[in-house]
This record gives sequence, structure tokens and C-alpha cells, in this order.
Amino acid sequence: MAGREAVKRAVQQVRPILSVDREEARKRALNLYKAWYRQIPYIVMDYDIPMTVEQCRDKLREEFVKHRNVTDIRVIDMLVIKGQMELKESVEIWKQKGHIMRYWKESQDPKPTDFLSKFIQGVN
Amino acid sequence: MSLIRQVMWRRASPLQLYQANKLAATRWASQDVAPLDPKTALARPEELEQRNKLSGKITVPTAVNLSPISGVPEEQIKERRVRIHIPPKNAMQSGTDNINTWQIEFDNRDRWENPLMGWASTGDPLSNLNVQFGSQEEAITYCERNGWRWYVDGAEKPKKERVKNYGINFSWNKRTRVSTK
Repeated sequence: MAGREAVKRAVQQVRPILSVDREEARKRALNLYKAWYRQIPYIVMDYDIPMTVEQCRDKLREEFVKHRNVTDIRVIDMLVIKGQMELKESVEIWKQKGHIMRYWKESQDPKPTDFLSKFIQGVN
Repeated sequence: MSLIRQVMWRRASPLQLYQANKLAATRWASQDVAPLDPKTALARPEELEQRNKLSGKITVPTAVNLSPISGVPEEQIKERRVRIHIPPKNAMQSGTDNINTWQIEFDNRDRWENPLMGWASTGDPLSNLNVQFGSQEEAITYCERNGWRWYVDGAEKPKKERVKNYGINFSWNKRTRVSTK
């Protein structure tokens, strides 16, 4: 059983997606953040979600901080593109309330810890 | 200087001007002027600069983690472990040509018996994933790119040379072949 190999430090030449350097990618990410930040009050109003603007902004920050360790410029660009698409969908009300509330839903329910919940869910 | 030019221009007769114009016209017509590309001609300088930059290449590390943009749910990336292995030979009399690939396999998740029919059910989206690779390195690269933890199962053992007993019977120096005549 072999363990994880040492991370190779090799580099390669590739075609850029949007940005050619880190600074440009950073600017794009910041622009997207600002756009979301300004749109949040309207989103809260339009979709009539049971969240305050502050809670939405916390969630926005959380979503961006989740990817703070991403270093590859192309991956950052793709994330920005995806974020832009989400924003567009929210602005145009192509989404519905449930799609917005999905940001707060964990994709997996926590495992039951006490006996009765385990028994009811049928897991050991 | 400009004054002199103006004066000279005024002194030029209409006939001379006509001839000069004609000469210029023929010169332009004889040369093939490259047609202007409206996309380049109308673009702003910063746009052109950006286009130039994008047509070039950038340097990025070879090892890239695509898990943020792959769309796979986070818990399926962080909690799964991949076993990279060569599938074993079929115990029956099948050939060995189909076992030269490397496969990836995920750790097992909950399975249960379906109460209606008694069939086995699972909620694991990756349980049936069957990807084959030409080499161990390719499989490892795939796992690294997708952010999964992995381990290689089964060390590579050199195959022991085996004496082919049956073929020896028909060797040229064995007098096992009998004439039919």
C-alpha cells in the first residue's frame, strides 16, 4: 500500500480562460463579490426568503472563503464564471425560493448519535 | 517649411494635379491592400491588449485540483477514499487479456435490503463507478485532480517464470511424436 506521492512542483504552459495573472483573477473575484453584495437586498426582497440581509452576506462570505485555498488561475476563473451565472439566475428570477434557500441546506444530514434516532433511521 | 509647401501647392496647375491623382489612383489599385478586419479596427486599445494576452499562454502548476469546479458534492470528495488496483483474473478458464488495466474503486457505503423485492439498494452515487486506466500513474493523477484520497492496493510482483509442461512433451528432441504410417 503506497501512500500519497510527494506533490510535484512541475509547471506547464496552457491557454488562459479569462485572466492572465493572479492579480487579474483576484480583481474578477472581488468584482463578483461586490456584485453579489449589492444584489443581496434585492434578492431578499424579491424572493421573500426568511433570512436577513446580514445572514445572506455572511453566507456570501462563507461561500467565497470556502475557496480561499484555490491557487490555479483557471480554476478561479471557472469559479468566477459559475458565480456570475448564479448571480444572473438570481437577478433574473430564473431561480425560485427553494434554490436560494439551498445555500443554507447542508447536502448531507448529520448522522444520528443517540440510540433512539439511530433506531428510527435504521442505522447502527 | 509648411509655408513653402503651401505655396508650391498653390502653384501646381490643375493638369498637374489631375495627373498626380491619377498616378496615385493607379498605384493604389495595383497594390493589393489587405482588407481591414472590423473586429481589430474598431476595438479599443485595451481590448486589443487583452486579446493579445489571451492569445498567449500562461504558466500554471501541472498538479491541479478540479474539485471546486467539478460539481461533485463536497462530502463525496472529502469523505471518500479510492482504492487503485488491478482487477484479479477470473478464476474460471478465461483469458488474461482483460486484466491489464488499473481500476479505481470507492469505499463501501450503506447498503440495505429493499423491503419490497428484497433487492440490494444503496444511496451511494459512486458505488458503480467503473473507470479503467492504462497505468497506475494515470489513475493516481485522476484521483489527485478530483481531490480524492487514494491508495494503491497490491504491490506489483514480477510474474514467476513457469515451465510449460505440456509443450515440453512435443519438443523436437522428445521422441513423443509417433508416426502415423
